[in-house]
Amino acid sequence: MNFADGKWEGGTMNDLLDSLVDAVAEGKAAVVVELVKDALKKGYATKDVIEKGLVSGLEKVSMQFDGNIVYIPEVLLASRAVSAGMRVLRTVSGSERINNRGKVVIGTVAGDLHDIGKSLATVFLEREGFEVVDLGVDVYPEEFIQAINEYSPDVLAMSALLTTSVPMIGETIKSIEQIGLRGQMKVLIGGSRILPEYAESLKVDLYAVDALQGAKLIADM
Amino acid sequence: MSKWDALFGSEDKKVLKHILSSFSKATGLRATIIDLQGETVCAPDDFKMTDYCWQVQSTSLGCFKCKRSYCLAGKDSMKYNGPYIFRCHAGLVCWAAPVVVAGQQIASIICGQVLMWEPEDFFWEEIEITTRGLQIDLGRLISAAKKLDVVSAQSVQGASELLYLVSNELASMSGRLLVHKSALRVRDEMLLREKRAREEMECVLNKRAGLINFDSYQDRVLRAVRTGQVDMVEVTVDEMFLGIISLHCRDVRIYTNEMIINMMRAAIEGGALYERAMSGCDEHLKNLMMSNLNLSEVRWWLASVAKDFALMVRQGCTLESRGVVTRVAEFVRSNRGKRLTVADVADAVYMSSSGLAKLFRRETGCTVAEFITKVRIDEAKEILCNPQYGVSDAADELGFNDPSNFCKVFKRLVGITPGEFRRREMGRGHYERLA
Repeated sequence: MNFADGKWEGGTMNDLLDSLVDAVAEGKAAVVVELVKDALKKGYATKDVIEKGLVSGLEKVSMQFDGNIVYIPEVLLASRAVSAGMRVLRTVSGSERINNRGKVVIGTVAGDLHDIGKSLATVFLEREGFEVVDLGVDVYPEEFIQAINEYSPDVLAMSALLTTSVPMIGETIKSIEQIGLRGQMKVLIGGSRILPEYAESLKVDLYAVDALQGAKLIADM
Repeated sequence: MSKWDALFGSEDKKVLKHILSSFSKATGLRATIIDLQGETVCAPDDFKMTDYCWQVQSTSLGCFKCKRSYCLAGKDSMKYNGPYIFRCHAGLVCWAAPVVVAGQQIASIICGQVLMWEPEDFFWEEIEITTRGLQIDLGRLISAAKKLDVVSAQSVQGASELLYLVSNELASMSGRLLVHKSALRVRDEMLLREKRAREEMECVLNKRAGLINFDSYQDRVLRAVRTGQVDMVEVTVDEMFLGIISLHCRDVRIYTNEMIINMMRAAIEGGALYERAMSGCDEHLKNLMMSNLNLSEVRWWLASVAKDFALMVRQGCTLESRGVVTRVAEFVRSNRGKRLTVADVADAVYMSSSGLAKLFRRETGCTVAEFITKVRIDEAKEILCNPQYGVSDAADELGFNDPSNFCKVFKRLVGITPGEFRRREMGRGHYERLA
């Protein structure tokens, strides 16, 4: 292990990514931030940092959770560490990005505090050249409407992970329709608990079960 | 008066405050009880909100979001049947445990408002995003966040489990209160109806003399099968045989045949897998036909068949679906006198109306409304077995505004009117006393 006191001291790409996996699994957000910065400085591909570092770290903690080695608090810590890493990826790559493929407003609907899927989609979309306005989690219909008026996006992307918060997607779309903004942009909804029949009933333009699929659908538009 | 106030008197609330206060002293963590709308209904006298929470709740939107975070977490803790650990809308770590009375959630205990990490640059960024739109000065919020308690993940897990144990104790305490209050109500009703019951009993005793009715015994067995009460079916089958012991063995076999088919139907209604119940039924009918059992052997054999069908009900559905069906039944039973809509029931089990409808079609073969009616009619049978209650009492107790409508529904599902059912039960009771 070449990592000590938050400083990376060289080693192979795999070593660095392994350290990143461990830091995510142990929920050390500050360490994850430093490691992601180092990885980007060394020219590692964003995709590798996400998939072989951040996502693998989450998978590791998820397996530990399944085996009753860790519990929900550790999973929350790991999720937060991934968000921290993702934030670095967005900030660092943002300065080099060319946002010429369109604008996306994204957020997790009201009543739902899940962040990871939406943040992953944000990173993927920015990598594809989209300008992304991230409204965060627990976003009300009025907040989405305010953002549509302010940013005039090409795509409005909404996510929900909880079964109980999925109906809020419908509520939000209804509010947008009521004030006549629905026709101004494409709408994507995403989340593993959303059924295709539900997406169909809302007449949305795009429907995805996970972040990568959502970003791909928007990029292929 | 809220459910909370209805269940807990001022003395009970003092005890609850004391429990929360002791919990806080032991763990160094804050704990309060909120109702289903997110309003605090009980907090220790020395409770002090963190400076951070105070600032967030100083705005109306912040206050609303806090209440909603807590409401959702409380509901999720009930849904997942355990402590629910989460990050609130403003980024703090909290956890919730449900307070349940008679199978229904009436409140939640909320605890935490802590961090599991030393605040670092990323946390300030998180706060900036999560509190955006609340119109709070970020600098002041950061200063307040620096004063938050930092606890380890293990401490959070341990404290949440302890809190869940506390909530279970509250549930048990409130359950005892409920039983006590309900016992008082029953006693009052008993006194009021004693005279009328005596008169009715005299009337029944004059009309009937030890008439044995197979159907009433069968109803009890079918109820036990439908609800998957494996331990109960044996007792009910035994009761049935005691009741029909004087019949000729050949008649018992005819009844047994009918009984197996009805048990199969009850099992499917209760949630057993259709194919399994059908093939089980075929097999049992064949076995009965091929065998030459005497009365006591039929008794033993039928008990095992009933057990088999009750087990199918238990095992037939997925754990989650079965949980939902059982919870719906419990919810309907604990809301006897209310007019329930499908949406009320769906809300109570945290599902959408359409999702619940699909699950019911799949698991029970009937609609949610039909299921509610069936559960209510089962309840009605229980009430009508009690000589102190009349038909209009049963209708009233079960939330039927119009007794004639109750009679129609009862007859459609049971085949006889509630009055006939009641008289039949009275006759059986009399026979049992004579025997």
